Amino acid sequence: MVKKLFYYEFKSYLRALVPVNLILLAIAVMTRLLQLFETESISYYLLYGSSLSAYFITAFVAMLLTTITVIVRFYKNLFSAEGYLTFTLPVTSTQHILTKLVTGVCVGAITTVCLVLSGMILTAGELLVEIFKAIGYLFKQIFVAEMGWHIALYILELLLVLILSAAYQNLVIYACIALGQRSSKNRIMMAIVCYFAYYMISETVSTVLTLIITTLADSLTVLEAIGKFFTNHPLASIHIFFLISIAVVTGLGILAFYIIKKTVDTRLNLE
Amino acid sequence: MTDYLLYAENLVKRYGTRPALNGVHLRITKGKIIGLLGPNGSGKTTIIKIINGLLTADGGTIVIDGKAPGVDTKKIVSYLPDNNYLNTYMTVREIVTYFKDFYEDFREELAYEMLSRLGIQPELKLKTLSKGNKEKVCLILTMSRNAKLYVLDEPIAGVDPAARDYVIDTIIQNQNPDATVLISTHLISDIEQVLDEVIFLKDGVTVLHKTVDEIREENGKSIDGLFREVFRW
Repeated sequence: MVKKLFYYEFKSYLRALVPVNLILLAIAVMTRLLQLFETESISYYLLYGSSLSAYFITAFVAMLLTTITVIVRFYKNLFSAEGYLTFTLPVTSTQHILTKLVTGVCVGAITTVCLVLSGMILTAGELLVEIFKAIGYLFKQIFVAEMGWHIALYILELLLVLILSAAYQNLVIYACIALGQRSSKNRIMMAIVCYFAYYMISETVSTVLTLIITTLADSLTVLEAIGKFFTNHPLASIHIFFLISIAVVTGLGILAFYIIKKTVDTRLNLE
Repeated sequence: MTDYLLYAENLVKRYGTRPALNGVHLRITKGKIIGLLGPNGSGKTTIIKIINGLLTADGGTIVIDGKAPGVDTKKIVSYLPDNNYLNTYMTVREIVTYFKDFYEDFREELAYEMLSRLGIQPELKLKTLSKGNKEKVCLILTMSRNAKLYVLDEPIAGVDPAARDYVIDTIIQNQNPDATVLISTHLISDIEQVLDEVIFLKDGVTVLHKTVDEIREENGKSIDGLFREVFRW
């Protein structure tokens, strides 16, 4: 059943997002080809400028459309009239939520890959070779030389942090939509209010934490000890930073998941 | 409890502080066509949503074929909501495939046969169909399942009188003989000839559950007549 859920989720997303990503890649190719026929004429610069603008606008639209599609798909499929079919399928609520989460993260990754690929197309040629050479040099001379085998773990940890953060961001939006459903009316408005409340609370908490750490760092022996550890063990400190990030994002993600599941299981009331 | 296909005892549901169900009792056996009747706000849709796992009861017990509403009961309950719930960007063929993929008891050939009788092309997108045809597609999908319990919420409310006959015929002809059909409707006179039993709901309480024959013998009235008497303002 989960396989089928994934199939229909991807089908729905790709129908919406493949065209815009293909257009983005096509514009990138067209803009790169124009560079090969560079002349000093005004008409060339006008044409090239328009093509480059179209590229940036399409890139922005692709990112925006991906975000909107992920949000709309979650809302429409679960909480609009479509929910009457979705929630009467012989599938658990956990499977529904996880399928939506994984596909949402995947389509975000696909759009990101398309953006990077289009950027590479746009800079294809000597410039791209130089960029890769520079990255290779930095990697070899600084990271590998200084960090040794740690670099492989750092990359894995960074990837995990990025994937979990993307999943967490989606879960927060889903949780806000779910909380909005608990209201008897103006459910979409309530979801937006929930998101702003979350944003303000998270900003306040991070500001307060930063203030506490910066103002009390010198006077607290614990913080002083942590600071010393970081100075004496810089390689381990980076692992600790990544692992704390993974733990925090996972913990908050589980909380958001619980809110969504609880709403779907006990407070669902389709109109 | 296990003798019944659907058993509910003292079912309670509140929306905030407003009570929707105040202790509903249901004893539904196999192989029946049952009318779930009551005025607006009597709790019909609330019961139907609880049966289908779309709402959770605040109190009481509900069991379908020996199980509480969940994944297992969704495999044996075929539900027709009272609104258009299909993704209208899908074609008729895509939605038939969707049902076939998710419901093991879905009878694909039967669905296409019924669609063909109505002249509905499988390649058409749902959004291009008329309101009446969309409702017929929904009914065809529901009745194409070989379910144990069919729950139909206002299946004839949105269709013209000629189409009502088609809907009723479809329900009778495609129902598995061992299955039970629970029909919620206001249009009692249109369906009363096919009903075996009726349940009257009033203010979230079951006020009557009898066979149609019992009502005719004891009250000497049609179901429609009795309904008008019980629910007179």
